[in-house]
Amino acid sequence: MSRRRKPLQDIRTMNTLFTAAEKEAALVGESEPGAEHLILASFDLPDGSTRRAFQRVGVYPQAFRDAIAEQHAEALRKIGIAPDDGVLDGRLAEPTPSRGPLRTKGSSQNVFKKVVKLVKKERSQLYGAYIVLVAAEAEHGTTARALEHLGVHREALAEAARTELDALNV
Amino acid sequence: MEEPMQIPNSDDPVTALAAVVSMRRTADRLELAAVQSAIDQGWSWALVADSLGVTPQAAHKRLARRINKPHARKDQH
Repeated sequence: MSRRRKPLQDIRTMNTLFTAAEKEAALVGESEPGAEHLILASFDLPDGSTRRAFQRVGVYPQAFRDAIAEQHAEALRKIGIAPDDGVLDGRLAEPTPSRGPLRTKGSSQNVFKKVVKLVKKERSQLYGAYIVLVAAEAEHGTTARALEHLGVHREALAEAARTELDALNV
Repeated sequence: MEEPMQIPNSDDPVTALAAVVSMRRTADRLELAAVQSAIDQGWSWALVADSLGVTPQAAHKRLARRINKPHARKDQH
């Protein structure tokens, strides 16, 4: 395990991550980012570990993004509501950077608290795969449903994330 | 006449709670799109706020940065 903690770099990573997560949520008209938006944001972190972890289970970023929308549509169809299927997308403004404190959904707060704890425990740096590892633990919620929609076992994705982290932390 | 929507059975929490999350998301999306249309049509923030049942300050604070500025219009709703 790496013992090279770089707190300043972690702060930069967190800023990048939350700014990107907020943008991901805003792009689809959601006011606050959830855990699924943290994952989407982590695809673009320079360490590349989220992307590689998903590749290990055969999923590319766009497929995960699509699966999020599709599981929402499916949940609405099950109760007899026709999903908007992107009809509203064209009416949504381009997201602009927010001012003031970041507001996040409980799901992303839970994931991030656990990630910070794990990163400290492992004396590692904050890598994207930590987000994946922790988010994959949740049995319910948008991320779990999106993975189920893709036919990906959460345990397999968590294992893929752990493999990536072990490679980064040697 | 359109078929009325059935409220999902709350005895099936997996389906019901997934529906709640997706309905909230859809409500957020519909709200943003509808407010954009209202502003494009020249509505004031006070009128938008009345329609949403919130104060103009609350409506503006929560939504203004997520709405495209209206094109120059003289006709007010």
